[in-house]
Amino acid sequence: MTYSFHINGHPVEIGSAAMTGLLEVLRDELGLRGAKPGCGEGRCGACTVLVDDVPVASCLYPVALAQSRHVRTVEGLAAPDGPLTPVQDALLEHGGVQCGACIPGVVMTLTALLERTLRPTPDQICDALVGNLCRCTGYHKIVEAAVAVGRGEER
Amino acid sequence: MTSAAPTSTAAPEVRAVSSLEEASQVLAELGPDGAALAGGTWIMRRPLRSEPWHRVYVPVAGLPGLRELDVRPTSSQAQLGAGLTHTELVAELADGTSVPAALAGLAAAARLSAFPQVRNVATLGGNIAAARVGFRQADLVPALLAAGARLQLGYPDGRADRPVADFLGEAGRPAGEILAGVAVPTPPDRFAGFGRLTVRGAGEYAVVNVAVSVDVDPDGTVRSARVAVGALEPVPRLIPEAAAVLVGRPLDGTSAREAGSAAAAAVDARDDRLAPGWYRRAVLPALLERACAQATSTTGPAWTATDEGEPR
Repeated sequence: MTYSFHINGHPVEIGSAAMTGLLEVLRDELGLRGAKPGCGEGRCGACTVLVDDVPVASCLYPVALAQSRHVRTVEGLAAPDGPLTPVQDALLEHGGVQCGACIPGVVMTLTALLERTLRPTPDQICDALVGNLCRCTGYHKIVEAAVAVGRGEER
Repeated sequence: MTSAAPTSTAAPEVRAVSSLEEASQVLAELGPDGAALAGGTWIMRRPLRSEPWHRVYVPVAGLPGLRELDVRPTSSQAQLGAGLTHTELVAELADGTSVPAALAGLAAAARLSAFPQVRNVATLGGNIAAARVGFRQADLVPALLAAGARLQLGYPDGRADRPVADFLGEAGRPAGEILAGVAVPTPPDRFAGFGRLTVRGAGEYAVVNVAVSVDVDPDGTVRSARVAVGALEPVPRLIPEAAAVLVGRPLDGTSAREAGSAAAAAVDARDDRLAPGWYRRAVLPALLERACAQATSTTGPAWTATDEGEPR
């Protein structure tokens, strides 16, 4: 059995076992190592990717359920030699990136938020980020970065 | 969403079907080798719990009928498809003005449960089914118990309705049984609330979760009540001793705390890594006061908090 879906706009066919986690498929089959294996149980957000524009914990997402869907990872946001997205720029600009382990997940969560909500409030940003653990920054810089994107300061 | 003992250690298969009836027939034929699959957030952690996979999983959340939703205030009950995600429930139930007050506890439970990445895929039916097989913190379940919800179950040869408590309390479930939907009564004088305590400020598993719904006479007297508690015992359940305390008097912080104390006396709270049992019992009165404050916060009766209670 193979599963067909889109990764960052490109169609893929995956022959992995049906209940393999999407995270494992992304990292080990497709070489997309941006999403990180953290807790492995949906509590840390390091593996966050977008499925049909919605953040999901890819470690708990069976590849079989990705059939015919559109998956987006941090690798799909900016081309290797292209400009970063406003969210990525803002995180750098505002000191929201330290060790970086959580950042691909944070970027995908904020990308989805800002696609739905043009000018999110700090409360809305905190609500969106409740499932993304960061052990370095204390979150303030990440929230400031997202507020700045909403204000258009990073566009 | 069935819970028969799995028999396979090989890589499991996922078998797609196109209708509830077909899913039921396939699962009935598979018996203990098969299970329904919804969002997968509980089943995907089977290896972490040292549980073997079932041989075959049948995806059900997207099947016709499992995504229906009717929360019109003019209906006598709300109809919620088992395949709706927590996020979808929040979007549909969170509008306090046009949605019956009887659904406020369920809306709060869906909004506060877990994390966005999990709420976006985890379903109503999956939460209920997982609560039968070890997920004692399942947040939607106390809210459904308190709301007097009935489950709509599909079988190869038809359908049946059962109260949530019956589904949770019985030891085994027949192969081929699928949780299709939930009907929640929405009488106009019913008010519902939900509270949960977590080690972090948000998200996470609840140390305790508690839900309440009350039917209130025009003079403010509680005519009937239901209190349900989760995360303490292996399966969430109604606590009639707590509900009895609320009946026959106005709902206020004092009666809520007394009911919480009655609940604490009635439960067998287990120790675990998050908190000892005595602590879980100790916080119940305050949590039930919060849940009752929420129940009265929209269109409900007047509310008087205890000195220690928080403004609603």
